[in-house]
Amino acid sequence: MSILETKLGPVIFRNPILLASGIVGFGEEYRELIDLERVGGIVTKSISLLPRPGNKPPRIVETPCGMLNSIGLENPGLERFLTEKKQFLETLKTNVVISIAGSSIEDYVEITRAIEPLDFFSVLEINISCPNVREGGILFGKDPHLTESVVSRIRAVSGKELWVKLTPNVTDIGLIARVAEEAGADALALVNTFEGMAIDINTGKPKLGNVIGGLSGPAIKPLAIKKIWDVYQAVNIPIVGMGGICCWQDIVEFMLAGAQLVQIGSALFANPKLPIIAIPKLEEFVVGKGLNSLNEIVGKVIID
Amino acid sequence: MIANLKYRIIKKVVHNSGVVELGFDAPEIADYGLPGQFVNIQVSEKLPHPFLRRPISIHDITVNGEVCFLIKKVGTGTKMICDSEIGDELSLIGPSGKPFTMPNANCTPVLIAGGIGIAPIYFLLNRLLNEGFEPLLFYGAGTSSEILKKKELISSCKVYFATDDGSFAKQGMVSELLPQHIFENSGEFCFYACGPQPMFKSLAPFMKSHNFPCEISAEENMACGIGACYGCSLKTKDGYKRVCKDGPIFELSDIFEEQ
Ligand SMILES: Cc1cc2nc3c(=O)[nH]c(=O)nc-3n(C[C@H](O)[C@H](O)[C@H](O)COP(=O)(O)OP(=O)(O)OC[C@H]3O[C@@H](n4cnc5c(N)ncnc54)[C@H](O)[C@@H]3O)c2cc1C
Ligand SMILES: Cc1cc2nc3c(=O)[nH]c(=O)nc-3n(C[C@H](O)[C@H](O)[C@H](O)COP(=O)(O)O)c2cc1C
Ligand code: FES
Repeated sequence: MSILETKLGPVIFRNPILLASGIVGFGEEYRELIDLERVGGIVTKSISLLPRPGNKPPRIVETPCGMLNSIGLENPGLERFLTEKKQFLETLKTNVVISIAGSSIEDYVEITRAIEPLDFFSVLEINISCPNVREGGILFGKDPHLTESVVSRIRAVSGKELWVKLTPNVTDIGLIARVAEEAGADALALVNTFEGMAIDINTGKPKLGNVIGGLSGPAIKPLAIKKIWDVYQAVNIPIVGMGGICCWQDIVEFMLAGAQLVQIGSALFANPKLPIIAIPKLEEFVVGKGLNSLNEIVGKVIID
Repeated sequence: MIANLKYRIIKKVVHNSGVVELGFDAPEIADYGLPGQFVNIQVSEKLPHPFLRRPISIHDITVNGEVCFLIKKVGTGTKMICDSEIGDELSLIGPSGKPFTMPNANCTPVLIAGGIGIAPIYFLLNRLLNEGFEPLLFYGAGTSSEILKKKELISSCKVYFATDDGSFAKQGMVSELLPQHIFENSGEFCFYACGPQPMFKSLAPFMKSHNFPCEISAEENMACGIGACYGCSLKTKDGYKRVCKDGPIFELSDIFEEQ
């Protein structure tokens, strides 16, 4: 067993680095830029039941040490995912996590049912935290009752590993995390983006066509670490951490806070090779610290 | 083929009004790059800000494999890229996007550049000249000193200039010159344009009324730059399209309807 290998439920990850939802689409475009088979896994763009056109442009603005996005879940929808996007993922020799998003609980259940028989993917990530769509999305993740309903209804129809992706835009993330755990989640993925806004002072107009968006990138890293630490103390299931990871040291920091796996998002835009560069560095870290496996540091922040 | 490598700067020229031309020793990009395509340049490896790459059109690919960019400083990112020196290495991803479509043999290509829009138009012009076309160029800028490579352009094709302040050639927008001069030439025309939004808007009615095909290079903020994130979507006649993958070259009438 490699020193970076880690197991979450029945699923083995060759290293703890996954590529976050919404960053690499369905993998195909990134094939030329990064050896996808060397990462622990890739998470697809969230798919919805019907195709979504997405939000009014501009959808991206850079902010200090980060970016706001308001993509609005533009995606081809379930049917075209099955006919056009799935083939590439089927051939990929790494873990595939399918992310899904719905406007209603019925949507989530219907997508789950439709993809359940596919055997190329091992994990279902439920996005109840997208800040950029008017109906559904983040509403489910902000309300403990809705979180309970959507997770338990999906649990009832799926035997896959179930990750619930949480929004940080709540007062008590520990509460939502516990609800998701009790409703049957196998792990929690966090954080999705922080709600944000930027205004052009010359025109007086919002910089994003959608007015508001989600903040990601290094700017949110300390906020994300705190949320992970909160959730780590609140639940007993594993955490998949993300939010501003830019280098191997950040991965170690997330793991110390309680994440067993991590996802890299916006930083891939700057440097698609980041995950590949981090792998040997993490190996050196494990050896240098005299550990048997990187897994040993999960949640081991030392608080005197 | 898309390269994702660090390349060394081997040429730096500071043009009029602070526009900087950088030449990279980038053989992979030189082999595949076509007019209209762009490269996503990482501003700095060290800093977490500016965080995103900056898309810059390919301005020229020389016979010895040098890939050149012509960059106008508009903010932090372009300023930092322009401050790079010969010998520095920057990470480039590209060539990306859909190139300009080459014209039919019997067509007269008409190139229209506004301001820094000359960057990709120059590359297209040189390719067209190499292939034996006799292109016309309409080139407008804010003021006389913002017109780049004037002598070289005049010696290579028929150029019509305009400046906003009238400090050189005709005063006004370059699009105003078109109706007057285009019909001095006969035959079939196909148009290629790159410039600011107002230029595209003012071209739209002319192109539409004569039913002329006109390809433009569009802009939108980008994140991935390779078609994966849907961050650069632009509204077109057929719904949202990604500037980085479905473009940056689009048909003018697909984006700007006649107002
Ligand atoms: C496909 C494509 C090809 C391009 N080719 C070239 C090129 O060959 N040469 C070149 O100089 N530039 C080119 N650009 C524009 C260039 O990418 C932007 O100027 C650059 O991203 C701005 O970054 P910045 O950090 O300097 O400015 P920022 O700090 O991001 O912005 C500073 C100011 O510039 C404005 N701005 C930002 N982006 C743009 C933009 N795309 N166009 C106009 N104004 C903008 C902002 O609104 C702001 O007011 C191209 C853009 C695209 C999409
Ligand atoms: C352009 C963009 C698109 C995103 N799309 C999705 C999405 O479809 N589903 C989802 O669960 N998260 C989405 N996210 C959120 C990321 O997966 C991640 O949770 C967030 O960006 C924080 O990580 P980072 O700071 O490393 O980017 C998106 C983020 C960005 C920047
Ligand atoms: S910038 Fe990501 S799709 Fe164009």
